[in-house]
Amino acid sequence: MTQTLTIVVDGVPVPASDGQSVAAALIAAGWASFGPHAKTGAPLAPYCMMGVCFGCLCEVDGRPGAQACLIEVRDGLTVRLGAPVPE
Amino acid sequence: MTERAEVLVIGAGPAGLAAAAAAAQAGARILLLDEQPVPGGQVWRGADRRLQDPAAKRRAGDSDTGAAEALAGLDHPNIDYVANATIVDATPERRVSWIGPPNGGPRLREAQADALILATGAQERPVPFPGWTLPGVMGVGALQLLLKQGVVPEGRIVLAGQGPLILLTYVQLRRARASVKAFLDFGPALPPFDALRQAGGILADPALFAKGVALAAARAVSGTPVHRAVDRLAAHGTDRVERLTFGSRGLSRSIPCDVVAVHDGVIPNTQLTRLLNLPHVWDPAQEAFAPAAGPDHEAAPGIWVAGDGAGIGGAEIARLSGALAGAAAAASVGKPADGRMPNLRAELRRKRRARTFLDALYRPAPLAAHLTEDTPICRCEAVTSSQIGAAVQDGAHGPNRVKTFTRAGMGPCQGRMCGNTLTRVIADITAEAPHAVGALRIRPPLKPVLIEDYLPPDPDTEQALERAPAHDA
Repeated sequence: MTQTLTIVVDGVPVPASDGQSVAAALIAAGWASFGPHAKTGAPLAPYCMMGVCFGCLCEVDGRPGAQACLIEVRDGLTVRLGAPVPE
Repeated sequence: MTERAEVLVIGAGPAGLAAAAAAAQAGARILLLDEQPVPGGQVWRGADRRLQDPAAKRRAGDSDTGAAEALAGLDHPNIDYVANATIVDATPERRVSWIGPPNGGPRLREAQADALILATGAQERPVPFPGWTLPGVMGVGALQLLLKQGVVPEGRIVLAGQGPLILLTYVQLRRARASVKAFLDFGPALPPFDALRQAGGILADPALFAKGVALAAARAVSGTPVHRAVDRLAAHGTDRVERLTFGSRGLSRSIPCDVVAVHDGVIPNTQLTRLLNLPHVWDPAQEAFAPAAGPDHEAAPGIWVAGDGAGIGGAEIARLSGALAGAAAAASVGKPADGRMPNLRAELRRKRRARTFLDALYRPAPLAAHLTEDTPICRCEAVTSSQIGAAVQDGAHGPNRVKTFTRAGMGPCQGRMCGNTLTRVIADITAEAPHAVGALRIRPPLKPVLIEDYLPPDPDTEQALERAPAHDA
């Protein structure tokens, strides 16, 4: 797959490919964790990539509590994670 | 406004697609709702793109078999297919509500169906072990879904578990030139006696048998270290997994790694069938509940279950059971199908015999093989194995009492990630049958809903909501 579009993650432009989910694009770009666990504060990451585990919850296009693995990337889509940007 | 649907199908994987196609061919009108952005379920996720890309097609191997035909079935004029539809509620009277994609109207929609087919598929069985909440640890299915989306995880990968999917994913990772450092097999060195007794079943399905032999041979010649009879799995690291320790035939081992993918089979996704209060039975071979259904897959008046959501069988069994359910549902609304049913039933029986062999070959590992007292069982609420044990000792009988005592199953995933473990762990402690232990009750909304989804898109309302003070913390 070729990288054809750009999503914006916490203000940072991130390349993504057509047909990827937001969660897959974030993992491809190096995000290991999508933010702190609401209870423990430990880094939280997706486990299932298919809508079951809720480890990929984030804000997508202003909508809170979105499951990033169930949303396909679109050019200009915005994500708010609160997790550190990968080095 | 409540819409009317002649046949409403939930799920657009192999079973749902076959059900919709069969019912449409019989002349019924179908509303097909699917949570995913693209049709095909998990097994055929992104297949429409792969089939047009020779390199991707080759890497996928034969796991896309049947996808092209099934996806083409969606073009039938009688099928109204809606992607990105999240089911919120369903009633035994077949009234279904869902959050649809934004289209200018209210996002919460509702339909009254004459016939309802549930084809909600499977999820991977969560395998709790110390460190399984660390980033970098995921299901083998998740890793395979990344591959299907063109993402090859960087770094050193370790696969742990057993079953057909982990073997297939291993071969696909090798084709994608990923760095697989070790294969940790939960299974014993020799197949269990039960599997040998069922070996006749696999011979009834020569294609599946050949597939299995090819996968096992690919692993054998690959040079990847294979450790057998693996237990005491534990992931270590601070912000992500850095090392995996485990036992294998009495020895303790340690492997540095960046990604750990675990798999111990898949289990039916029963959120919707539980919400509908359908009867469920515990399958001791697959160690999971599945909805009980009649010969044509009718589970309650006007409600059919098909595919892996009705009991794990894989894509081929899903397709056959979906077609049977679709035809039966169409007949129930006065659109009888032609006479292909007897062939489908015979084929389904043959495939099920082969499945019995797989079930015997890959018995799920006992929870005690990997669990420690500190292992979180409920990931959302961070409830550990020992907290659940203490609740049971204090008189919490069954998963729902344990939930009240500990909050296990109360987080955002609504018990999807701990439900199967809760039943098994309580059964282990009390020595009761899992069927008697029961399962978590599932209530609407089936997934978290935003209050704005209930409201019409009125600019005044939106402004009023923005002005409204947040409730006191």
